[in-house]
Amino acid sequence: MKETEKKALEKAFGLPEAEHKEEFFQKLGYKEKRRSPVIFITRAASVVAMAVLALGLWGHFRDSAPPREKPTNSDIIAVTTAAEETAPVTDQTTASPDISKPEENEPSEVQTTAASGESPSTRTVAHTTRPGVSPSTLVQTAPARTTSPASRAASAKSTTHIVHTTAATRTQIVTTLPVTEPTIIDLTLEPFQTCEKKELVVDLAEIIEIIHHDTQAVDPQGEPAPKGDLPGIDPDPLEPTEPPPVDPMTDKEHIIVCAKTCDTAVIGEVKKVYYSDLYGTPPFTLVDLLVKNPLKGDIGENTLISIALLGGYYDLCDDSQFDFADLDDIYEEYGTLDITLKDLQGRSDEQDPQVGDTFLMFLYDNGRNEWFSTNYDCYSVIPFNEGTAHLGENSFTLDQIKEYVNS
Amino acid sequence: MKGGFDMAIDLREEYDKIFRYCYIRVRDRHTAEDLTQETFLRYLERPHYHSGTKTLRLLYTIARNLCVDEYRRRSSQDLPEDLPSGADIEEGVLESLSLQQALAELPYEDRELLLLRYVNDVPVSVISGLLGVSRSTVNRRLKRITEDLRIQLVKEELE
Repeated sequence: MKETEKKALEKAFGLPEAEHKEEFFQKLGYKEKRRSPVIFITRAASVVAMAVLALGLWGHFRDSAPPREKPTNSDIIAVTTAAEETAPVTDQTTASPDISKPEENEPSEVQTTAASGESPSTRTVAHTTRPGVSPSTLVQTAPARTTSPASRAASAKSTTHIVHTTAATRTQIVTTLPVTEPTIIDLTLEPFQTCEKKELVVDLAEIIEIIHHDTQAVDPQGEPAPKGDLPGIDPDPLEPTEPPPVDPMTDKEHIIVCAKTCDTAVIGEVKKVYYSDLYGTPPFTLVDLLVKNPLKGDIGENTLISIALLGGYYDLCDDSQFDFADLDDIYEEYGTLDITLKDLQGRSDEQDPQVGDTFLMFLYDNGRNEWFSTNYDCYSVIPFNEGTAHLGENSFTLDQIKEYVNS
Repeated sequence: MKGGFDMAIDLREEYDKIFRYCYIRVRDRHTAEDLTQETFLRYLERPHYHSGTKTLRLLYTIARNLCVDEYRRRSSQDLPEDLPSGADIEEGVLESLSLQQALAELPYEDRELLLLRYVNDVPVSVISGLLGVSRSTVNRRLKRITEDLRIQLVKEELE
């Protein structure tokens, strides 16, 4: 819409001016933001000062830090037997190991023996089995290095075991380098405010039904009067008594439409579930999903994302839009305001995810929604078990879904 | 509060917009101003929402809820159905009379959407959160409403 059209529209609305604005803000003590150049100069100067300080600190630590050794092999388990008698456990203990390279086309084997030529009984052997891989790629002649407890604590992925083989004579230090543990990329966002899912839950459909029953005409026998036959009112012959038939979308069509229109399709496991408790907003459920199988989009495997699903649980007493006067029946039944409303309005498939569930989700990036603290909004949530997505009474295999997504 | 409020948006500007929003809902100048002030008081009680789009969304959400409460307090007969007339209409509005009539023909929800988007310049993402619909739905509705308005205006010109 053009600016001139906007102006005309504003005029046509005939909106009056607020009369007590200044008075209101004066009472509040609100002052307009000062945009004085002095503030900008002060801010800029403080930023520069911080940058200089940071650079200085970095330079200082860089100069004083001990030189780093090259990283050791990450594919094999390096086992070192240090032969130094009564070596202190916590000190950095180094040995000059003899490393025998394995024969080609055999399972690679690394033997590291202490330099002092101790008895073979103290020899420790580590095996890695990668047939067909050139041993040169497996064995690296890095110096045997042990990590001190401090550095061990700092290293999240390598662990060092200190084993005393004989009572006080020998200390065996075993450094285990990374095992193939998948790294999880955590993109999740914390919700601003959440509430607990209460045990006492009233379904919104139930409430609507109660209100609906209350407003229905009742005949003397206590049975609801049939539709279009209200006492004293003749049914309009032109008005259709039944709603026109609607051709529902089939489950397959639903999946195909979602697969084509979504930005991202993933299969993942629910790791966390939050329910909203925000003033005046529609209730929503925030799900942290660990992606196991990315089908479409940029999200990779083992990424943890937050997804907002419309509908959830919240306290009725927090809902200013809810008319409590209509809920006398519920008050009578439960006798308390502290009930939780289950509201799955707007969620077509009405899934209520629980931790540990696996779902196929069709997502779209709606910009980072600060209100919902979410990475993605969701078109559809479909339970996924044993390689099959279940929607309604139908099941869809992973291959079928991939076909829909890629078509 | 010392030294005033450090807000991400200009609250004075938003005051006018919230006032307009309340006004088109309750159709009473004084009630609209009361509701606007109540909106800001409630908003200021929640300092952790005072940034960016969160501010806008919270302001409009509170205002909307207060207007709904106001509806319930008053009987529907008390609320004028049509657009304001007489003193409320500024001079010179006569030139946009046809547009005004066309606006009056629109359902209330459509007028609300037009005001939010084109008069108050509320981002679509905030409107979608406020109304609980997707952004594409908001865009589709806006497109349809503006088309309807144009058709209505052309019709009136022909008559």
